[in-house]
Amino acid sequence: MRMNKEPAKESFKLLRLEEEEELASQLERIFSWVGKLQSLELNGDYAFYPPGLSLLTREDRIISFKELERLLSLAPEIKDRFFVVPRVL
Amino acid sequence: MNFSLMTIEEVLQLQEEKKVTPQQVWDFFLRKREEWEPRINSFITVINRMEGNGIPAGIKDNITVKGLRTTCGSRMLDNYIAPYSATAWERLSSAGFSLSGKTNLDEFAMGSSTENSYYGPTKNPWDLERSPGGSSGGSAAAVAAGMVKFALGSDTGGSVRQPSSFCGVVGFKPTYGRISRFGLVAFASSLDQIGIITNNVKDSAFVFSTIAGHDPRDSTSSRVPVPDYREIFTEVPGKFTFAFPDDEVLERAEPEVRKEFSLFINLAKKLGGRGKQVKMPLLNYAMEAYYIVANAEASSNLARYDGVRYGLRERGRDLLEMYMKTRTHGFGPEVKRRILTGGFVLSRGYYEGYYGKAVSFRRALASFMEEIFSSAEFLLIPTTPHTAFKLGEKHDPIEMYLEDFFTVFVNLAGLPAISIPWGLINGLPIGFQIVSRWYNEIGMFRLAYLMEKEISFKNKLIQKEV
Repeated sequence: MRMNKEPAKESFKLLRLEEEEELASQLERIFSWVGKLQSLELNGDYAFYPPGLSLLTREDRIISFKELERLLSLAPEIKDRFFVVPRVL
Repeated sequence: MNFSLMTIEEVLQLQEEKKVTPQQVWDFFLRKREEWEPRINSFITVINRMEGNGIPAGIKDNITVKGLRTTCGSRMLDNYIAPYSATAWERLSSAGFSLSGKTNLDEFAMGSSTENSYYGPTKNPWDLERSPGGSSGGSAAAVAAGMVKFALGSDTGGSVRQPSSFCGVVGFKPTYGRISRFGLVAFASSLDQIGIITNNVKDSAFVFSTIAGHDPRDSTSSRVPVPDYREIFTEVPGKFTFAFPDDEVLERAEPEVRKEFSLFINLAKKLGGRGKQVKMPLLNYAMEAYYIVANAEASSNLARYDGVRYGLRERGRDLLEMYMKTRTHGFGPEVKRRILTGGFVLSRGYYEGYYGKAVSFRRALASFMEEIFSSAEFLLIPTTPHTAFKLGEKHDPIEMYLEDFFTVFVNLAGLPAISIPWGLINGLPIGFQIVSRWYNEIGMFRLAYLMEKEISFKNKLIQKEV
């Protein structure tokens, strides 16, 4: 597959991380390395589960977690029972 | 008495006969920990309180134990106290085992050397200048040095078996779905499995039969019945069949490793095995497929570390700046590389060519392995291309990824595998793998035990009493 955009740059745009310059050349090499797979002729059968497993579903019901306070105590900042974050806009 | 040289079953027997107390067992391993830990940095958190039978376990620090720190080797979770325990630990704890500590790892289990830990590298107890492998390097080093009777690790692409080979211990990864992933911090969910590190095959089977089995809290947990430990060693294989890879694959290993591996094959034949060499051309693509799938899943799984509900938060003027600063300062370079790669292969325009191709490859690989196991019960293959490398020796990320060449195909296909120590090359341990078809852990343990009895390797680090 031919890429028409610089792949590393594309990733940065998606993930909004800093240190772009430092990682760019490493990522170019990694993308080119994993690109080797594209030379293989494979059918487009996507779903894969090891034999004996299939996607399990479970009943949609509420399971109460008794230690809510313990969970909230892990938050960097809370007010009452809400997580506080900096302004969005 | 040297409890390191006994099996768990033997230690429990002695306790039952009142010949030793749990405290004596605990104190024995504690002395070992005091001797070794300052030198090798196997643990992120140590526990000094004995419980139950006093047989100490090391638990990789990406597996939760309620009330204890679970850092994943990352600054991001430096202050994270787990509010619940992993099923695997709950079952060990119910069976009476004691926790010696949470072991060191590459950050979020991403690495093959334990150098990518926020808490500093673990050193290989066989040679303190060398890596114990990774990512479960803390677990493997702790078992090799005799600080714990066994340890849990996680194996996403070889992270239990590779360090086990480097440290001269037994590393076991079950069929995908056998051991609950509930409480295992997710890296690549379709590949992750909790694995077991021990000094002998019997202990591996003992721990496996204790912690494996269905768990409704893991949606990929298998319902296939787990063999009882007492059933596993009631017989040994008489005649058996095995496959081993041809030279094209074996050439990925260094000449000394190939030489030792041919002796390993000879032993299997001597013990009643009928072996045939097989071509495995798909292995040449397994690394690439693995890094696409694993990183794609990691980029999604690690999105939860955003500084909102738990873990590190760096202040920002607005929400976006907070996210950016938190993730920039919270993650190390390898984790960032993988998130970026994973995000890219899932992005519009590249998804089909990268992720889609890799998932199709998994299916092709699984069919190929099925074909191998239609004519052979086992596949024997090296675990690592060489013995332990020096700390700081590998700078190139791709060079480090290739460390897992012999192990990742097992995870992609969801197979069980065990690495057993074979011997020493220039004074450093090397292990080889037995791989089997899905859910045939019992057959694999039996063959591993049969071979272990004939292998002259002794872990010199645990021979001496303390």
